[in-house]
Amino acid sequence: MPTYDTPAREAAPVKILIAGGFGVGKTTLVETVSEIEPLRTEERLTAAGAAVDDLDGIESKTVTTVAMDFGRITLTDAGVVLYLFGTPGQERFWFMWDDLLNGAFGAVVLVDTRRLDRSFPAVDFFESRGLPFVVGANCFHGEQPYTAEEIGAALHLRDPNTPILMLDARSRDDVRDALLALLDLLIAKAGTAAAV
Amino acid sequence: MPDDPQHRDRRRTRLYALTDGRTAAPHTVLTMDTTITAAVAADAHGGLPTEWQAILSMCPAPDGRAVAEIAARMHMRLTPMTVLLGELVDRGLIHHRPPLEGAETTNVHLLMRIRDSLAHL
Repeated sequence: MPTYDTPAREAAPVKILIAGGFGVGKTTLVETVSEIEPLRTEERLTAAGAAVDDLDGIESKTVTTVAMDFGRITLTDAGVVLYLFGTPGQERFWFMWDDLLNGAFGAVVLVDTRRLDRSFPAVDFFESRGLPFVVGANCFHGEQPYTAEEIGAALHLRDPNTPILMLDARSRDDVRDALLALLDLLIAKAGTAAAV
Repeated sequence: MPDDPQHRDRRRTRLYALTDGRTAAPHTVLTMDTTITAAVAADAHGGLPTEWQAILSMCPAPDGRAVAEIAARMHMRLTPMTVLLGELVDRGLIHHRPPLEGAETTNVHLLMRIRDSLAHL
């Protein structure tokens, strides 16, 4: 019976979140860069109902099944495997789902400049929870009518140095560049923390 | 009671059937980003439930698969999947590797290694 007792050679998992509003291209982005075919992971979540103020407790809760896109990138040289989680569409549910945020290194927030408001909640959420993120403005062939500065101003980013990238979620190079920008941000933050 | 009749085209196997009747929480807490690798060959033990064998054969060492990926491939939701996998950990059938701790996010050397590998992708 073969046994495998060499955990040292296994790649260490690193979680990265891909967030943004509904229909902004999260699924496409994960598919573009993942080394496996697109997968969807389901979970049953409960959220307290905002509209109903019921002391009974049970009736005031809403239960729904959410689906996350899952992808991975194995980086053998670095000894890690990046696990990409595309956040579910139902924000009022996943914002209360601590397991999704816990342990995440950072996030890419995808925005559609025609519907910027759809990505406000994700930006606010990561800012309030202190998770480093970069903004990716998804558009065909990376062409935008707006500049990065204009997008940043419209998003009311708390940190003016938050990277904003123009990207096409179907382009592997663009998506990789967004992940590289996130790593650069993490490296810069780590360097600042070490210098203090 | 049918479970999500509009979304399910087949019956979901009940959790207690997959976990050999145990429904108590296993000792090991697994998260969606934990990597699972088989500790034994899928056909090493005769009589293992087919679902257990399916998990073992999809998680060969050294790479294994994330809990979230196994759940997706097994068509199970995350929570029942983690309960089942916790049972397999308790029985020594699989190894689990937790994700890197939050402190690693400030490990510049690790971050730069990840960046370099990614850049060569």
